Amino acid sequence: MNNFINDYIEEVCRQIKYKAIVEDISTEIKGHIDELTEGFIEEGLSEQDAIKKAIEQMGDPIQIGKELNKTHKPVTEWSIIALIGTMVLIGGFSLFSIAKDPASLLNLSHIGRSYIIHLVLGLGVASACYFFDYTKLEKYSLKMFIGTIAFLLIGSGIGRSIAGTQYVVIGGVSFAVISVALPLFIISFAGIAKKWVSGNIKDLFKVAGIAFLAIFISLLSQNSLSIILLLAGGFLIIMIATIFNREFKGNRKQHLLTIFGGCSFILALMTFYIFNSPYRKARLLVFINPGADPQGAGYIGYLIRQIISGANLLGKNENMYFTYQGVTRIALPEVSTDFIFAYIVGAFGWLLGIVTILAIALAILRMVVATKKIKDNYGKHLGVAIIAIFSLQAIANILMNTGMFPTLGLSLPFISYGGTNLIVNMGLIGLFLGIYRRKNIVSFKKQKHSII
Amino acid sequence: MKIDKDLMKGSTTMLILNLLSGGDMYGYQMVKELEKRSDHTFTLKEGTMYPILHALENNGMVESYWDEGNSARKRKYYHITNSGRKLLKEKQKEWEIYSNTVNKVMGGVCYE
Repeated sequence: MNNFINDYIEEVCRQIKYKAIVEDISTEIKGHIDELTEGFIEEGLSEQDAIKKAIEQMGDPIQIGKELNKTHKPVTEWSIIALIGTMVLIGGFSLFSIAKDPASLLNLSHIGRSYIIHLVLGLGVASACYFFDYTKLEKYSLKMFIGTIAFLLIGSGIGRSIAGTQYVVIGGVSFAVISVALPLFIISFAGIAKKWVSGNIKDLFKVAGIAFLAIFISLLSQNSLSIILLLAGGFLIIMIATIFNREFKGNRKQHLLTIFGGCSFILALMTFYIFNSPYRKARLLVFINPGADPQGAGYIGYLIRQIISGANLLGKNENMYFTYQGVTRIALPEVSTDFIFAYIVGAFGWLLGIVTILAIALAILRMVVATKKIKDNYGKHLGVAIIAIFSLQAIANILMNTGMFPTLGLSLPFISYGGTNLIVNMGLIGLFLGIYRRKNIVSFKKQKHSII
Repeated sequence: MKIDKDLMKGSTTMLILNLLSGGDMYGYQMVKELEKRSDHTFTLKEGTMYPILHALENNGMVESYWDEGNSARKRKYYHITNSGRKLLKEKQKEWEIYSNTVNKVMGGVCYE
């Protein structure tokens, strides 16, 4: 007998192109028909007649389906794609310009091939993440987090170390272990925070403990200050966003004070960590007093100031080079990776630098606006996490490249040359756009709260 | 008396928002409440309400959440937002002007 009802619902759903929403809609409409049917049975109709009458009451399924389809067309955030595309173009353009320059030590054909391979891989990962149903991730958050810790430990054990960074080679392509671990930590932490930072202060301590564990293990295995800053910053942003979420039921002030107290503690630990190593101490002291020691720890900062202060509005500034024994070289190291922004300003002028900053700022802004429109709460948490990773990296890198932040190993997302980073960032943006595509879906499988 | 479908179409949004301004409701409940309040004058094809509700939600006028309530059945409740209340006020004003004007014009005609 239920066949009539199922046929009706199928007819409605056949009109809807966006299949992910179909389960929600059919549950809602089936509930309505069931209640109508029960009402008619109570009035004395036979079950068969009751169902027929209920379906008659509902109206034309094709028309209803078509109307619903109009509302539930999946949406793509083209402005974010365009802005990220601009960044990738600026990055590619700069990289080829560096590689072509005889004053750089890069090999054009080698770099070009590697860049194209990573770009294609990145686009593949991005589209896979775009179509992936992110809601499946939530229940694996804690497992994913623990898995990432294991990956970090194993990866550091078997990986090859190149210039202080651990790489794992899979199918001829090498991946920087920490570049993969960082987004995995942040993404899984979004689910952990959503579940446990919900109002109970004891649970907040558990979550903070987990965060601290991840930071500690990253510190042990990677020994990189920039990664620690990104991880801590990301965890912090996610926790604060969770406290301001509408599902949060506890005392907001108490939670915020606890978090800031914890941060002060960690900051004290970090100061200890920095002053424990003469190298890091020297870099910190140089940061506090940028003019000091231009021949030693302040050398890179000195070079950056040379490039930035001498830059033209348009076109190359010769301050970028130095000539020693008749050989001309680009003075600043790592121009294709960490210091690509300084290179852009030096080699093409301020105008392209401003365009770059504008593209980054607009992308962050569009992502914040988009996240506000996501209805599913886990989706919102993931959105915040992805914005945190992207904006922390970008802002810290730009500040570092303009001499306003200590020189750490930080790359500029989508612009710096760095295979793993490009692929990972592409994947994150793909995931973000995929969440936005489903922004109207509030799945009944998880939702069971009332709006205040 | 049954009301012409096209006549109802324009005001359904206002009626739905008005129902929700009194508290969260699910679809079936809204239809029944509408019938009750209108002494069974308003009997719309019940399925046509969902495209309207979903469009309202898309535009941020209402929010929805799933709840099992007292029964074992999962029901999707709708909740009016602040922008929804604003829209309701606008629609009410519009409706007042419209119905007053129609009455004024029609008042000039003698039916007997």
